[in-house]
Amino acid sequence: MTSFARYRVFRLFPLLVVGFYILVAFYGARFDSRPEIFPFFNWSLFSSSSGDRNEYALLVRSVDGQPLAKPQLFYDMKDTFLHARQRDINVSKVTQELGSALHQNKPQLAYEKRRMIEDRFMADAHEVEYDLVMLHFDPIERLQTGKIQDERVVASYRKAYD
Amino acid sequence: MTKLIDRVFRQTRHVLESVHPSRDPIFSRIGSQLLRAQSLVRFYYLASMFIAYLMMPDVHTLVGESQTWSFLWPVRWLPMFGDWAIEWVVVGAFVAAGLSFQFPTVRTFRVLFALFFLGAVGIENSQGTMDHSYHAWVWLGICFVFLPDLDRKAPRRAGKMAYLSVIAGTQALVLLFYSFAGFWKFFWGLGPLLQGIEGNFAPRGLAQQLANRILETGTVPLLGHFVITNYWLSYPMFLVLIYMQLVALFVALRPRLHLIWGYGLIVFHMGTWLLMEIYFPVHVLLLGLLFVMSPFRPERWTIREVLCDLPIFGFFIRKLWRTPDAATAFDERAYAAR
Repeated sequence: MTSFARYRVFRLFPLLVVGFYILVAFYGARFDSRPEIFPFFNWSLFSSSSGDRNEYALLVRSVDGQPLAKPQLFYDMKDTFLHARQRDINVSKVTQELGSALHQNKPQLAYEKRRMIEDRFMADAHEVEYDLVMLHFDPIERLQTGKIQDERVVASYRKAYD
Repeated sequence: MTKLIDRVFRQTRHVLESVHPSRDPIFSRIGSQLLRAQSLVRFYYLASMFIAYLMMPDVHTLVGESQTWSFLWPVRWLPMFGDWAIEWVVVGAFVAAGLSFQFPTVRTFRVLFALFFLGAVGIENSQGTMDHSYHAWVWLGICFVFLPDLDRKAPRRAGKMAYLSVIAGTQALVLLFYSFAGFWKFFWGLGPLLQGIEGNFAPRGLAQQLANRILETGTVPLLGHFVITNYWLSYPMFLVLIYMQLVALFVALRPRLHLIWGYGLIVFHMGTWLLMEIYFPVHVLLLGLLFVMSPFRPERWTIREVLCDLPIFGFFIRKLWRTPDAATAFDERAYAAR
């Protein structure tokens, strides 16, 4: 191929790479059970803000057979869980994915997410009783006053190794 | 078919390019641009060695601790060989990066690096969750596989332009990532705006986002609480950010804006750390490499030209500022005579 003929092919590179990426990032996930096909991603990160927020969270009720005086959110239990101390964002991501899988009636996916929470994020305790709760709040108001407008238990679980 | 491709190509450039492309076209000084581009590629592989080296202890820890592997497709075959193979993928990425740095014209080494690094990032993301810190760096490696071979003694003009086309495509892809991010912020902000409820375009839009992030993980970002309380400061910054991200793809063929978008997006990543404790160090490096040090950045430019090149706003600025600046205008005759 002559040098110029090669350039005529190469000049299409920007169009092809951008077009191919858009196609797979937007439509590829429809042909796979996962929300994205690595290394493609639609780059929707922190895209929406609202004063009327619904978020899933983990509310721990007991650890190693000892009921807590008051149920606590996972991230507040820094003395118990390493991933709470590390403020690991993956705990929140997987929690949202667990809630979403239950909402969409995908039991297998929900089971995988639950296993991940219990085996990885709650690895510091042998036995944990906890709820997956849906919190409804205004973020600024909750940050300043602690007020949660509504709290609903979506599912209750128990992690235990026999 | 060839005519159709030509037409699509021209129309796409027409839409994306500056309204005065002939004054400073993206391929205006291909000799110096090629030298800069080749340096950029070599630096990429040097930095890749450094990144692969940094990944080694992370992967070592993962292998030691993890019970919850959920291998992604590029590394699904790894369990067949046991845990030792997992760590050697990262070592392979390090070695391939070194070889690509030393021999940047050997495509085999570049292919090996792209495969090993894809595997290494795949391993880091095989815990059931996805971290996007390294995605863009992986894509740079994949794009650079397509760099054409050049005649070492006297590369022809068409060969140089083919090389630069791959660099321009890589820049466009990285800018596309930011355009995606901007598109979603715009899209999810538009609905609440039309309904009259609080969203991305509301004065407290960013403050709500920051508060939610702090609540989510209990982080204490350096400026988080200050910006939430003084949200009128963050409001214009957030609008500028949405604009910069949304139109980023248009900047690909407007080299006068490369420097500004490079630094602008680096500042954005600095902001995500100061306000949210979200950390994207590799993106700072790649923005510096591809845009602050862009091979296409012009040697001379004026504020007026830059303003006229701004997507959307440039249209209005040109209406206000009609007279061309003769002192800095690109010499079309001299360019044609070359």
